[in-house]
Amino acid sequence: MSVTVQMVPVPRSPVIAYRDDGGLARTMGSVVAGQLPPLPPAIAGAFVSGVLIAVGVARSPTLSVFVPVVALLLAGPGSSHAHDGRLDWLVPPVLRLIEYGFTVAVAVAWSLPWPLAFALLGAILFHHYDLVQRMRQRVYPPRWLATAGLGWEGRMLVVALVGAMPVLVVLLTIYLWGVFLWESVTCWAAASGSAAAAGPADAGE
Amino acid sequence: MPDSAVVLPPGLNAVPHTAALILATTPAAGLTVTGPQAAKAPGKPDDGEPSPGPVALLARLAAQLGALPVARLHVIARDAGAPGHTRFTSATADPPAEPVTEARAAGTGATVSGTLADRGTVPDADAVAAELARGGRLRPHVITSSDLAADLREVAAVARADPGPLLVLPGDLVAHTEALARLADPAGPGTAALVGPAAGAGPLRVPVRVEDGHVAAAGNAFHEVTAANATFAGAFLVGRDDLAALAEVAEELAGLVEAGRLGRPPAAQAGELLLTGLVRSGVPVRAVPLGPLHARRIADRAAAEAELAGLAGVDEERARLEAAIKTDDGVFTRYAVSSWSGHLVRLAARAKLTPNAVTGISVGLAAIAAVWFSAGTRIGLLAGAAAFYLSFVLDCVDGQLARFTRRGTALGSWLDTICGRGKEFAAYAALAAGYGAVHGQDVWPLAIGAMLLLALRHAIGSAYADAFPPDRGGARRGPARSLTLPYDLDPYDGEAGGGRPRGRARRAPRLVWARRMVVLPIGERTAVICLVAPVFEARVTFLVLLAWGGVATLYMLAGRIVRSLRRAEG
Repeated sequence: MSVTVQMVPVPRSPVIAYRDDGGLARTMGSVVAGQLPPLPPAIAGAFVSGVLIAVGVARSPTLSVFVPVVALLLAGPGSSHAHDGRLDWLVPPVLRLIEYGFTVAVAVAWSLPWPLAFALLGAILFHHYDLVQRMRQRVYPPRWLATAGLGWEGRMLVVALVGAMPVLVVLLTIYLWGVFLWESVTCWAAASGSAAAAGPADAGE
Repeated sequence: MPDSAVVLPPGLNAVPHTAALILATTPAAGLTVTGPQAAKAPGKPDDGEPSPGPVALLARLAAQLGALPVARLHVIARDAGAPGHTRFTSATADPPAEPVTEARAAGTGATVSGTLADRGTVPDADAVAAELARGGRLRPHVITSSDLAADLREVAAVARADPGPLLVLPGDLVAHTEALARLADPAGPGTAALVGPAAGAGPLRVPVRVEDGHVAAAGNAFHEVTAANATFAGAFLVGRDDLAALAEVAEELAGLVEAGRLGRPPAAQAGELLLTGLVRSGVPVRAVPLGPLHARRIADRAAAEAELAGLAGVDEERARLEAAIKTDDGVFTRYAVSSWSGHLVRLAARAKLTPNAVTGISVGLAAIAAVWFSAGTRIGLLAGAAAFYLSFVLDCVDGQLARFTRRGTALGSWLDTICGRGKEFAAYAALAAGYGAVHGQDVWPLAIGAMLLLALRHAIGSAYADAFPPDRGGARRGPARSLTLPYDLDPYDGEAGGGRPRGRARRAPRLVWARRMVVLPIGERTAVICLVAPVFEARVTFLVLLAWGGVATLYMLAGRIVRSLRRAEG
């Protein structure tokens, strides 16, 4: 198998990369051109999502779409901000909280098999751990990965739509594992093949 | 678009490679001496240590650098015909006006005044180039210069041209490879200097004052140090971000030397002057302690022979092993893993296992653990716990082996992290499955909760850490002081809180352990799984992980928010 290492743009900052925005959030961000502070809307998005989940919207396929839409409308425009505020590093954890919480809520609402929910969340977690490692080792992800991986808002939308149908959730899980794992393994193999020496490994962290 | 225009291929170009700059401007740098005939320990990994026999110090140094991640080698040497050639020797003929007059370590019994044998024969550039070329892998870039001021200007030119980091070391340095490796470790951000014990200060081992792990003042023939508590071993590393400062300092010093504002500094002390300059310009210089290792500039043949014999008296492999085993882990890792994992590291190194192979074995053990856990019976939980513990030990061994053999790779680091979490989450899933099989009751929600909590903590930790990388905001710049002042500020009387201890080093040891444990690091999580699961089964295990993890999350979050608010204030 031949692997091509493509030229990859360096993200503006690790915090922006850790947001894991998909195409929708990036589009919303380009509209406001970085003028909106990212943290307050993200926290508001988490709060509103929590309230919506608490009143049980996850149980309805039409209503549950409101959670990702509200979260996207609130937290999406911040994606183009430089994230240089003193507390802006809180944005990625808040986005994680929204996505993980909503996914679990949908799984509970439709009584999805727990191992399936575990596997779906596992794929998303793999990507998030992988993102951090990539930024630290400077093996930056290609631009298409953010689109193919759907981003936090895209995955929430799909989960809201397919949550009622376990077969489609299985397909989504397989798709996400496939994209994230395949892309990561090939990219790391290519990067390490070309690097004779590299930084030290950090163990046990 | 949230991306900048800078384009880099992933991997290779991004990895920083150190450059080395040897100042071969002293007579001792040209020495070829008879090395100690002590037999080497069998099975010792190749560390660039040359075989016994006649040793050319420069070739030895180049071979040592070749064993480290050093990519470029610059050398400053004397031009044989230069007028400064004689001026240099006359300058060293006077004992430097040094506050500390005891010149050599007590053990060797030699003093600087007894070192006339080799004086005056400074190796010229051709000889230096020939010696260095024998040293192996690195092709030296030889720069000729005539005197101290010219040396300093050449240092400035190298600092401007080389992308760095730049390791500056004297040609008459006799050191353990491991000592240089600690200094050149690319994981250590920023600028650092190798420091040894306060005893044995002299013109080639100048006194420094270390405060809170940083060099607060550095001496030389002109600049004094108040309350010196350590000595500078001769070599220092300048981080990428400080190269511009090094160039400025070197040119300022060159100007001062030419104007005679620094007395008559010996040319041998170019490195020492530069260190003083860096410290006084406010660059934070980390002090890298030698510990049991040796590194010393030597003045003559006798000193070189004594020093080379001294090197053989230290178990370098053991020192390297001890350094490879991190001690800043949690309590469980420290007492139940690191206490004996060194033997495994040695074994793995003998067997020529790569760190990634060890990671593979660790994953295999974790898979065995998961199979046993998923049985859910008492025997299964016990066997699973044992396998999971061994898997964790090997997880620590792979990183230690990578540091020990200096073969860490970016891929290895990624593999280690991804496999670490993969093993952990597989154990959660297996425990939940096993509990369901035996008790017919779902603990999956607890397993998922424990997993998500851990991921959330990782998100908090990584976003905070990478928003404020330590080499940009962590080390605060010290106050700048003029280089024309010979005296040092009183350590506890300086302006800008010079006497206030920086950082958070002053803590009761018990409190440090408590702080490390409260964040529930990997070792403690493993301990919970291995100890709680066989006794109280999966449900209680997850409840403990969730409760402890919840406290850890709040503690981490609160601490980081407070710190980022404080950082913004000043």
